[in-house]
This record gives sequence, C-alpha cells and structure tokens, in this order.
Amino acid sequence: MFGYIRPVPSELKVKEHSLYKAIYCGLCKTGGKRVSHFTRFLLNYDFVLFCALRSLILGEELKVENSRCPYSPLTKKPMVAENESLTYTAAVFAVFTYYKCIDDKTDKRGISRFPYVLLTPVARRMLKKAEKRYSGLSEKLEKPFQRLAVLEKQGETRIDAVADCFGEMLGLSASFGLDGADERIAYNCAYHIGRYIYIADAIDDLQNDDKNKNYNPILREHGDVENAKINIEKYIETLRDSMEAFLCGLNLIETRTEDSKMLCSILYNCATLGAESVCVRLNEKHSDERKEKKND
Amino acid sequence: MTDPYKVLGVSEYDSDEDIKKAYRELAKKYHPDAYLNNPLKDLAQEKMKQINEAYDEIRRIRQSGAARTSNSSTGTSGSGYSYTVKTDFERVRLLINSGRRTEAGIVLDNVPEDKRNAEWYFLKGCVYYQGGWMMEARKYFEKAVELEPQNLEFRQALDNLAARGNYTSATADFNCSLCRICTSIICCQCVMECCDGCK
Repeated sequence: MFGYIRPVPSELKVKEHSLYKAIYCGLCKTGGKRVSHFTRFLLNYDFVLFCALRSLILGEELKVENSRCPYSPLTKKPMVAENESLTYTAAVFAVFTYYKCIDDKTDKRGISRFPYVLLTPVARRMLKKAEKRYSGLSEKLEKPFQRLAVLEKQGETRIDAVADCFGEMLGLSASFGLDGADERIAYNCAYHIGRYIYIADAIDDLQNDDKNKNYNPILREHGDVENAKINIEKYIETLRDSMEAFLCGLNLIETRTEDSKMLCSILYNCATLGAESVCVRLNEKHSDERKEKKND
Repeated sequence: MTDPYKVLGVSEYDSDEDIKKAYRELAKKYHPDAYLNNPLKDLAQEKMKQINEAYDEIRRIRQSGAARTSNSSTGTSGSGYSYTVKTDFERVRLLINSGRRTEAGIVLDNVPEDKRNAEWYFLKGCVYYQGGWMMEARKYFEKAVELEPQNLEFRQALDNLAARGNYTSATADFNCSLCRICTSIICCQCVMECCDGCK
C-alpha cells in the first residue's frame, strides 16, 4: 500500500540526500530494535516522509552517526541516531502494519491470503509493543479504520470519502501528542499525504483489482477498467491538489535550525518533483495501454 | 519583540532592495489568495501579519522617510469575504471562516433544492475543500462557475485549486482574461471598421 512519495535525488543537495538516506537507515534500525525485526522487510519510503515531517514539526536536532547495519555488517553506514520522532514513526508503522494485515486478511481470498494470515500474529506483537510506549495511539486510529472498512464493504463510489478515512488515520497519527497550531499543521500535512497515497494506490491497482475482484473506488464509480482509464486524468488532478494543500501546510512550519531547513527542503522536493513524477508515471501507465488498445 | 530581520530571513547589512525582495517572496508565499478556503488560513494570516510588521519595522529603523509603499498593506486586504448575501449563506460563510465546516455543511444541506444557486455550490465546495475532499470541491466550484461565469470569487476559488506551485497564478489568470477582453474588443473594432470601409 505504501511507497509512493519519494524525493528526486538529482534535485536535492548532496547533504540533503545523505540525510534522507540516513533517516531511512535510522528508521529501519530503530524499528528493528523497538518494534520488530520484520520492520526491515516491510519498511517503505512513505514512512521516511512521515518521519521527516514529524521531526520537522518537533524541531528536532538530528544526530547522524556511523553505525553497523545488519544487512551489510562489514561497512558502517551513516544513520540518524535514535530520537523521539524515529521511535514514534516506528510505532506508527507497527500500528499501520497491523491494520493492513487485518484489512488484507478479510479482503483477500485463496492463496494470496496466506502470507497475511502468517503475518497477523507478528503484527499483533508489533502493535502491543507500540501500544506500550504510546498508549492510546491505536485506539485513536480505530475509528477512521472502521469507517474505511465499512465504506469499502458498502462499495462506496466517492473516492474522497474513502481517501478521507485513510487521510484521517495518517493525520491523527502525525498530530498525536501535539497541540495548538502544530497539531493543526501536522494533521493537515499528513492528511494530504495519506489522501495522496490512497488515491495513487487506487489508480495504480486498477487492473489488479479488476482481475482479482477487489474493491477499488475508481472501478466502482466508472464500472469497468476501460471507462476508468478514460477518466484517469481527473484523479491525477486531485492528487496534485492534495500536494498543493500539503505545501500550504509545510510553508507554515518554522524552520530556524540548519537541520529543519534541510528537512523542509527534502519534503518540498518530495511534494513537488517526487509527487509529480508519480503523477506522470501513473498517467503514462494508463495512457500507454489506451494507445495499445487503439492500435489493436 | 522578535528581530524583524530574522522574521524576513535577511541580515542587517542587506540592501533595501534585497529586503524588499525577501519581503515580496514571503508575502507571495503567505498571501491570503494562496490559502483561500484552506483550513490553516488563520495561521497564514498571522504569519502575514508578522511579515508586514517586520517589514514596516525595518523601514522605520532605516528611516527611509518616504510614505509607506502600497506593498505593506497587501496582507490585510484581500482576506475575508464580502458579506452581501442572504442570511443563510452569510451564516455559512462565518462558520467556514471560523473553521466550523461540519456545521456549515449541515446548514447548507438544509437549504431547499430550488434555492441552491451558484453561491450555494461555491460554499459547498468550500466546505469540501476545508475537509480535504478536493475532488468534490472541484466539482462544486466548477458548477458554481458554470452557473455564474462572471463571478470572480468563484472563479478564483477554482483557479486556486488548479494553480500548481505558482501561488500568483490566480491573479495572473485574472489579468490574462482582462487582456483577452481587450484584444477581443480591438478585434471587433477592426472587423467593424472593415465593414464600414466596404460600405
């Protein structure tokens, strides 16, 4: 479900790109230590973005140190030392993994269901560890998750309604424990990241969902894949609107220290160039197929 | 009080030109037009206020003497809506402005169907926009513009949604449409003169 918004490295400063990689490594290591070793197989780039956002809002000082990574034990790699936002993101990751497992276990049928059945007990253990440190987090996310499940079961056709639930889940987790202006900014930024991810995922999975008869709001609205592809641009437009709203929030965050300036620049890159490249890829993916169909 | 130079992100030794440039960039970034209907609008307004105050302060410190340029008031004007409508919509606007979009939505839903005009669609779009439902918002704004194409407020809301990475395009588009009107008038004139000549 995740891994859509990434920066375009060629447009980042070298130090910003190394910081981005260091956050990824730091997150992987922290997750392995605090939540579960499975973090390492499941972690993806959207959580790095989430972590960067949280870190920026908290105004954290980032300490990068060289340490060993279990996957390439011979060389040391620069990674961000464990801090509040890394541990917190690892906990959020655990909660989301758990929900994803539950969701897929009920959605999928046949053989594809099997890995999720295996993963669920692991995910439950991850959730418990996260709960211990941040009590109330998973309860807070329960409500929008249930709403999402109900809407999916009903076959809701308005993509805004379903994406709203997922956006809310991410928004609530980003603003957890904050107050005042920070809370509102964090909520709004993360809401639009979530909304973006959900809609991009729905566009990306059109064919698969059609083949496997899974729920997909776009398919529901337009009936079949062909019809949906003709209207795909409408959805890509709305992805851009979401990133625009994300930038409005991002602009309001104070960037006093050098670290926060770098984080802001990474996030800006992700939301403009990174997100745009996803839009272009999704558009091409579907327009290529449209052309092929015409040629046939 | 905070250092006005820090607020604008400039140094004490920068030239007046540089400071003006920095100020303009920030003002563009936090301009109410860029945050039209955004739930974080009040925070942006606050920021804009700080920037304006800082700029004024620097100008005072530097004793430029001349009267304040018109720049310093861009922030406070332009925000807020015009209140010249029926009471129901007026209330909805107040609710939207204070961020109570759920209540605004309820009031709007209670408006009987035959009374749903362009403004109703616009306000409904605003409610959706604040909630992050961009797709629905676009639909309603489009409908509002379709019903009342000459209304600038509706058009701006739609343009604002379409603007990407360029916060000034809302006003730029407006200029552009003015240009278009001018050129079409000139064209008409030419054609008419031609006809006259033929006679």
